[in-house]
Amino acid sequence: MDINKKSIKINKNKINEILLRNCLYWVDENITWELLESEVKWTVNLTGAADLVDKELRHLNSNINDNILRFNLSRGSYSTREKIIKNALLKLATND
Amino acid sequence: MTNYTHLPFNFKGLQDDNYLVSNLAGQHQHLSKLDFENLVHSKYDQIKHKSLDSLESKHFIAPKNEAKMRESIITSKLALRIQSSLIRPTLFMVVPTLRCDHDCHYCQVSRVTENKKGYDLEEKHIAGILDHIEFLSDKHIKIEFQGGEPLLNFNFIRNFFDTAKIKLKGKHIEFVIATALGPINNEMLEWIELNNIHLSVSFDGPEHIHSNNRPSKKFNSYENTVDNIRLIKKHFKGIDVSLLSTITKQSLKHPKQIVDSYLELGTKNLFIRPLSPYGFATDTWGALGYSANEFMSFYKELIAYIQELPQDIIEHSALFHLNRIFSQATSYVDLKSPAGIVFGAMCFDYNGNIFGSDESRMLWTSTKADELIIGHISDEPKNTYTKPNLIALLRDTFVEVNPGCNDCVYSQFCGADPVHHLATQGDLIGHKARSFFCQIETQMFDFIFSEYYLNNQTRKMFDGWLSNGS
Repeated sequence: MDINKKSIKINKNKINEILLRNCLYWVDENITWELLESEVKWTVNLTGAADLVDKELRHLNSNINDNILRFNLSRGSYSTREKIIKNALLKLATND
Repeated sequence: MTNYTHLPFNFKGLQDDNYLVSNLAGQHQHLSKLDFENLVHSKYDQIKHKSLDSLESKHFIAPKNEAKMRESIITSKLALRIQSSLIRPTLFMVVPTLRCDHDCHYCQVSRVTENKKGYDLEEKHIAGILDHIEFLSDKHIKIEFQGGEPLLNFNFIRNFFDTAKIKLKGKHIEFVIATALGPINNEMLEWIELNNIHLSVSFDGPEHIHSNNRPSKKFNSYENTVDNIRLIKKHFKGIDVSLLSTITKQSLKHPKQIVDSYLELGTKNLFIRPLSPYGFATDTWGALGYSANEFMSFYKELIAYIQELPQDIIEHSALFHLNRIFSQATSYVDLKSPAGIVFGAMCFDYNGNIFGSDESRMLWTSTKADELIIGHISDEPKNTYTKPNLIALLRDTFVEVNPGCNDCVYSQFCGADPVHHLATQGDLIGHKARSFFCQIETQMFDFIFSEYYLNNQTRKMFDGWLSNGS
């Protein structure tokens, strides 16, 4: 089996650590990943079978883009989502 | 142009640069990439009018001065959706025996051989079971006899039926026997027909698959099942027989033959389900199991073949998903949030144990993890369903806030399966990236949404199923 190592570098002003770790949650369990931090960049190294590394790299890139978008979209509205869920549960508890 | 603002929503890219958005109100909207980008960049005036109207009416966006009011509407709709999941159980499974005349390699309940003693549910427990059902149920219920092979304890089934008719008088009860038809005979069939009892028959397709998956030391299991189905269709026309196929690695190469084998039996209703990692299936997963990708390749080929055929065939697994998406139905236990444990189904095992789902029974059979037992048939019903272990099983099953689910576009339609995750990962929530359940359901929703919005022919077929088959 060919083992390969590939990296993604992302500016730290684009994505925070929590969001980046959310993306790493979805990396295939047969891939080893490491997250490194410099002053201005995050570096993610993926190591594993060559074809799987390529696939997971594309997947991770797409996930990072979606999460950046999700974050930008939800400034303000993410707390709204939490508020809606809490209020719905309170409403049900009150009805009971 | 109205001054809009976003309301919270989840999103996902589908194939061919299309997007799906969904929200806590249970609504979804399919968008072109261009409309999606205009939506996320708040360029509302550049979104197609039809899409913009739809986004507003479904509460994805709102005029800024109405945002608070719209949030209240979403809150009410979410509360209603949760409430509709917190229903009394409608499916009550009773296990008259764990004995079985088949030796299925993937048996999920770890059955015992036909002559083994001590694995039958005693008739003295009938009154106790009915007390629990009466305490928990509403007017319309289904009582399903499961096994082992339930027909090996046919006297129990008859006595249970007769007692239930008296004790639960006033309730509308549908009785089902889940069977492989091994011990069936004319006397049983006459009684089954007379009492309008449904048969749910395990049928895995052509002989080389069915007999391999479900061998029996007593008979050729394929011939036995097929001959009995034909006998019922010819001489007992009043009996409603539905077939259910469990897919193993061996089935994956034969989607067309599986459909053909249903049609040869005159059945146009398919129910295809993946293998579950319980019971013997846990040990045989290496030989019988597969990845979610492999299952979905098989499934897509099967659906494509159904479309080629002139008959109007329905595949009920897809129909459950369609009903969940378009009418927010909560009848399919796998697709419930909070989970369908007790709020959906109950299971009374051969030894008197009560479980909140059939999967809990399966997992307990192989692990003997007593936390899965909700109570015993002899317990007082009113003291049984508030125990801490039941609450622990249900507590973390609200998928909208589960890690890995909270930002998933399908969380509004999907369900929690705590017992699956307990079985496979030792944790009730589970790591979704490693979850076979999550992989199967995500790909199933990907397929259904993509086909519905991007393939007119499939959409027409799905609409037909929704209007005729639900």
